[in-house]
Amino acid sequence: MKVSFFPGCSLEGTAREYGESIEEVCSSLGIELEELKDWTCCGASSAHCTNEFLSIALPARNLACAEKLESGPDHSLRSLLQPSESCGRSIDL
Amino acid sequence: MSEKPLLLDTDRRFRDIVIESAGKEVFNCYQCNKCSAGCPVAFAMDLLPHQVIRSVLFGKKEKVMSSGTIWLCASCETCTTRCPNEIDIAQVMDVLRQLHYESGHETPQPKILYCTLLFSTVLKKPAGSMNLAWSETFQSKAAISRKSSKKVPGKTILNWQLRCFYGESLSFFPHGSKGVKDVRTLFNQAQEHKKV
Repeated sequence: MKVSFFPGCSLEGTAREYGESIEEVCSSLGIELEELKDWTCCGASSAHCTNEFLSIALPARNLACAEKLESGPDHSLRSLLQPSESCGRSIDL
Repeated sequence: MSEKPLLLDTDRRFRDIVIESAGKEVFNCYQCNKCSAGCPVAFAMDLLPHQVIRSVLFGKKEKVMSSGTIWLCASCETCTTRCPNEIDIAQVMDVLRQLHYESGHETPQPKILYCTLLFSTVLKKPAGSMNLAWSETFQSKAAISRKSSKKVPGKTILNWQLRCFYGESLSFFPHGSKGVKDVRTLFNQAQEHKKV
């Protein structure tokens, strides 16, 4: 199984150990992670505090990246894995 | 000094702006306190979440805007999940923060506000998010010493950085993304989408 993957900033920074365990768990479950191309920070915990437009636009940009990946040559990428809680919240909205 | 009579201090426009963004469910609040009882940061708040909702409904703009609660809220959505009337309390807090930021009111929690603003500044930098913690400490030092009388000693910050670096919670190289240009465009567009 292959899913697209949005790591978010903290998984490569302050929550690096969490990112490593996600990769480890997915590989032992046989899930292949395809990282989004050109993803940017979704602005969680900061952008939604100051501007409503940014709270929608920044996550939407990343969803558009995911959509691009889905419509690419690999049609199996139908779901998006997004392990970080705050990013999940902003993308959910 | 005696307090103003209840109805003279109401700002209906303020209430309407909040309700417009956070939904009409806010009217359904019957003060059951479930939000405040579950809130993990309630111990530090001067105005509890259910009191914020009540104050919003009464249009008590000054009371809400001058409380530290809106910036202490961690956006964990425990309140939203617990609310029996399906009020999105976390969204109410978001709207209040946006209004507060635009109005330029003083806050009892200036450091949280600076931290949020610094985060937004760092997002627009070409190195993107990965250098966040590094630049954040550098800049927060500058911001805190500029805007508040309490200074963070340089030695403390250096210690913190070294600890992060050797504990491997920070990568040496930043996450480069071609999307930073888009992000900057979005930030520029956001200037046109203000609440008031």
